[in-house]
Amino acid sequence: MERAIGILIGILLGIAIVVAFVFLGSRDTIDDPSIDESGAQTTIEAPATAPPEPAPEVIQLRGGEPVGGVRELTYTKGDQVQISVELDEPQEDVHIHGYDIEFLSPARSADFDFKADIEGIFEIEAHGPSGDVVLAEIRVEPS
Amino acid sequence: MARLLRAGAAVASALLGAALLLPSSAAAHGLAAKEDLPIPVWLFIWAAAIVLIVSFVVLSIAWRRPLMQEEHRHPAPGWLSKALINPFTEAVAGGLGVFLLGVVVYAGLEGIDAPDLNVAPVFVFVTFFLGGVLFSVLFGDFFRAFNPWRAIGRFFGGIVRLVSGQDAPAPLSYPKRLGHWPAVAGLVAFGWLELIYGVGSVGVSPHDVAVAALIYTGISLTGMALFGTEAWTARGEIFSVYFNMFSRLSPLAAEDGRLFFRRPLTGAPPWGEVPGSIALVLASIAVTSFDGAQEGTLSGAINTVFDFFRDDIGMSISLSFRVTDSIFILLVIAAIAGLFRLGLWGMHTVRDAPSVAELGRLFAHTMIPISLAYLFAHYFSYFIYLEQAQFTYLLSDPLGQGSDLFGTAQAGVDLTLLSANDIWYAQVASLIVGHVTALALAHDRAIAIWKDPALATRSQYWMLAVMVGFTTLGLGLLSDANG
Repeated sequence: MERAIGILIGILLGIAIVVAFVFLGSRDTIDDPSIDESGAQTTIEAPATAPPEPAPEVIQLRGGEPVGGVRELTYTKGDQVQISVELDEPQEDVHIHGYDIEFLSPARSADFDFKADIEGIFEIEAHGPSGDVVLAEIRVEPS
Repeated sequence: MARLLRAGAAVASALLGAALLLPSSAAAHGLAAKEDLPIPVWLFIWAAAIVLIVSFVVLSIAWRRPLMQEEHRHPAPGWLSKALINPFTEAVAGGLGVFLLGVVVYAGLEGIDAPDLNVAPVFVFVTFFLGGVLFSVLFGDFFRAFNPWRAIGRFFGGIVRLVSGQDAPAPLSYPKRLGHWPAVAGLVAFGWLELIYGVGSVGVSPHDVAVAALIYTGISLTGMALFGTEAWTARGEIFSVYFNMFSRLSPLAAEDGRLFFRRPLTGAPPWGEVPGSIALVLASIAVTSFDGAQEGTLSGAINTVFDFFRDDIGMSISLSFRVTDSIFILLVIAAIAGLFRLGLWGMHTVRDAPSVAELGRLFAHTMIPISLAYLFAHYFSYFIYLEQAQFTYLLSDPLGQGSDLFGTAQAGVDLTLLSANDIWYAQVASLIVGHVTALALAHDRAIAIWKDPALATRSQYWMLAVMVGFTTLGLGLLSDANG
């Protein structure tokens, strides 16, 4: 008897946790629409301005720092990643980790254009007069 | 019924406590080109729910007589023991250990000073330290044979025996109360070297790895000279003690040169008797937790303290970084120890319970599977990626100076080998398996202590709460539950 009650309590607690988290999670989304948990809501708020073929992301390097801080750019596996890094001074190299794509001695810009086929989080980094600078993080999620 | 409700309340509060600590980020490791995606919220919730359900099922259907307190040894066939353990294989294994230590020191001092292109950092922190844990769990205490410091100690002991005709006496006898404490200090220092001294994503330089290996060799040989080779190896030498801890879970073991099989996990129960054992296993959990939390939950607090040291005190950037992280790793150790301590106090309230200190010794081994699960969940993908490097370009070009010893210098790491889903499910599965194993060990011990199954079960509600806390924390460290 005690055993059956124990199992039952365990299962009820498990369900309670799921319900509690789902509830808390949805409340967060309502408070703060920038949380990307439910893509549906955010698309409603920003009606079809996003073109089907997204324009390249632009990252500007000014005085050894990326303008607007280190951004996280999210893609789904299989997407075409197009990122243009604009430089205020020549760098020794600009590269993305993991994909191992590298531009040696770029003077004004480095234009990445590759297919996101590795899942994970990868840094875009510049080496130059200001040392090692992280420009952005690429986040590739499973399709 | 009321008891079960109380237990439910305890578990729920432990879970809530752990949920408050949830960090939000993927751990960054200096040597890998990629970070794992954090476990998505929905999977984290399901995993936490499964942990709870499984816990109550385990506790409800649990056995009423101890099953794991005796090893039930089956000796391996004599020829197998003789083939694997004999003076020749011991000399070869010890020699190989010394050779690899030499390679690390030489590569670190003479090779390229870039952490990802020199064999020394990857070999020490990944192949040796993580691979050693894996080997110990699968094959038992293999490191005893390959331990380079023990091999050097035995070599000099052998020379003394040849010259003087008797064993070299150890000047001091190893103090019993010192127990595993030197290894605890060493393990924290090793974690500090890997995670803090290297200043974040830069990583420890090969040169520093070589210097650390030389210093540690000096410490080990001094310990052996003072207390005797075997005494220091069994108690004070970090890696012997650490790998031996995980080998306790293995069904394979050796004693007096004889190989034997035992029931899985039965090597663990006697492990906690040596002073400092509980500190060792908790330190292991804490160092892994710190690695996960420093980029997530703790990053805000770490940045605040870092700014204080850099701007208000005027320390250099790297010194501020090291001081700040040193403070936080100690805080994490204290928090992990505090959580375990709560479980001990709880158990102590049960009728006929031993003292809190005694309970700590009796239940220390139950944390070994949790520590293993933390290591596996945090580092499994990292290990897979870096072992590809270890056995391709780092093998052929260990110094990073353009050699190609085995024709694999141009090969690279295939980051597509594991999908994000593979990694998530492996992480969740390892934490759940570790959790259940820990519960089983704790329940078995409780039955052995209390005899009365009702009292034993009551004591285990407390351990259940603690372990649910640890497992949820472990899951949380890998997820982006708070977005």
